[in-house]
Amino acid sequence: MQVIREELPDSQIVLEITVEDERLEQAKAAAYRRVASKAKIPGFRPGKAPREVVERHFGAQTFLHEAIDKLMSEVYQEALEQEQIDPIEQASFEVVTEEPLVAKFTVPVRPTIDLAEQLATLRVPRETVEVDAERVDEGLESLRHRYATLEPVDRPTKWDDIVRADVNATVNSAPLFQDEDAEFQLVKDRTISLPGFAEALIGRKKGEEFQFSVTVPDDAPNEKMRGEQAQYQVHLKELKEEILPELDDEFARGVGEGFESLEALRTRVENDLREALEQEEEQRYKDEVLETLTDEVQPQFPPILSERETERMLKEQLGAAQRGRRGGNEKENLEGYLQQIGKSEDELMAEMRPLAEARIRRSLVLSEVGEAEHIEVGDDEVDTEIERLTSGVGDQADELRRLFSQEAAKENLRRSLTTKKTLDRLVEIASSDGAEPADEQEEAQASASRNG
Amino acid sequence: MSKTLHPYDVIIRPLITEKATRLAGESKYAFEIDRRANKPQVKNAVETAFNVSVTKVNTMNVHGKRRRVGARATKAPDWKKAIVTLAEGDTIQIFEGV
Repeated sequence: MQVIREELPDSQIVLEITVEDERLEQAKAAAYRRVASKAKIPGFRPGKAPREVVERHFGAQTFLHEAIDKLMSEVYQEALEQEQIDPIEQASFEVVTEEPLVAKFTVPVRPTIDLAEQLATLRVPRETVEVDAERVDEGLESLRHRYATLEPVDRPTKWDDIVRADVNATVNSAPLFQDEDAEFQLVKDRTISLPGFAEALIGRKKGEEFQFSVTVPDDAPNEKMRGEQAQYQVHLKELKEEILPELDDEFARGVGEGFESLEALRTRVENDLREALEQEEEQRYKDEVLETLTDEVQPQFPPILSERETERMLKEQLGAAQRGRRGGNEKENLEGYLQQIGKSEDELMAEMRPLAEARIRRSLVLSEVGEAEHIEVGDDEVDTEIERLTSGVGDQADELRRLFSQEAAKENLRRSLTTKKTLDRLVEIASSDGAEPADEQEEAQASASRNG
Repeated sequence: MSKTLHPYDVIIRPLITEKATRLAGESKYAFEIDRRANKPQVKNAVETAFNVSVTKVNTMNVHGKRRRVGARATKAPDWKKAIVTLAEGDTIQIFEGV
């Protein structure tokens, strides 16, 4: 077996493998033996027909192709071993000539990414989180609404009242909306049903039955109804006023587990808001750090990766669209979905490709960072994580623990922990002032041994 | 009637079976032949068709097998078989390589 190696850009290696004739002949003989022992040929007991007869029966090319198929994976593995190549995806191959057998394999390999430099200089400024007093007020306001008391009143409806009514709406006598005992609050500038509906209910009294019509707006989802008149028939059954509690210490004592004063409640609302914002910011910051590094490194990768990732994303999206629905095979589902969004498969793929490529670049960079920073997750950490995940679920804890004790599940967990740790380390590097990534010396050695 | 049988109509097909393959090792080749053909005609036909010289011809009538599927009985057609021995050194390609 002779191997000619050629490096392509985009982390691909072409291996041209020439197989000796004797080896091909042997493979053909082996293919014949495999087939012949079971072949039923008229005039012969199974396994008793001579090779020539079997060949004539199946066609002489059959064995050649069988032999080639089998040889391909054999020589491919050998060539990988010989050339010390570790593919990250399946290689594509073509047979150049059959006799002598020459085949070309295009092997996608892990891109070599050198990001030591970029990593050392990676700095992304953090943004501080500030909580507007306005947002706090809003939070308090919504608390007031949550703790409001509803009191039946006997007067014409006003804004912010809560009504219970039977509503029946039609457009050109086709039903649009029908609900009995619908309860809703009449909030100014919030659209209920169609614009103009809530307004028409203002000034009505309890027990009143009335009709009115509003124009269906031009942005209605149903094109046929746009610009038509919608006829409403409303029976207003109940009318309640929302009585908001005063914002004072009294109110604060009644909220949740009880607060000492309004000030204490205010602080709590502010802290909750800050926490949420901080988490949001943390997530955004992580994204930005990785994005920045990825942009600087611009890793190259074999095209097959983006192919695979695009397919995966398509499946994910399809899965999300189909959730809750059952039946149908994958192909039908895809066709139905494509029709629904009005795109061809190619269009959708083309749309997704840039996203898929961005995903790949980020994951490549991230795993390279993990390697450069020697990020490892030990068994004890995995166990701790399992403990954390299973605690507090009560009855199902044992069940869950059993699930997580499987090797594959552990491996998955380990991977996601590694990602998390790597991201944390990356953030640490990017946000610190002049902190050295890992141990410089160790780093140098590690990269030397990797290259060597 | 038999005189009018064209040499190429005599041989219907070579018989390629396990047994016939074994016979080929002794320069004997088996054919299914026309039921009306006699030994000289087979000799003549094989010599012209394959360009070999024939030293001996054995013929036999083979009775078709009777089969039954439930109450329905059928019979495979009868046919005639010839075993032709060739002169030393002569071979027929379609059986060759065994």
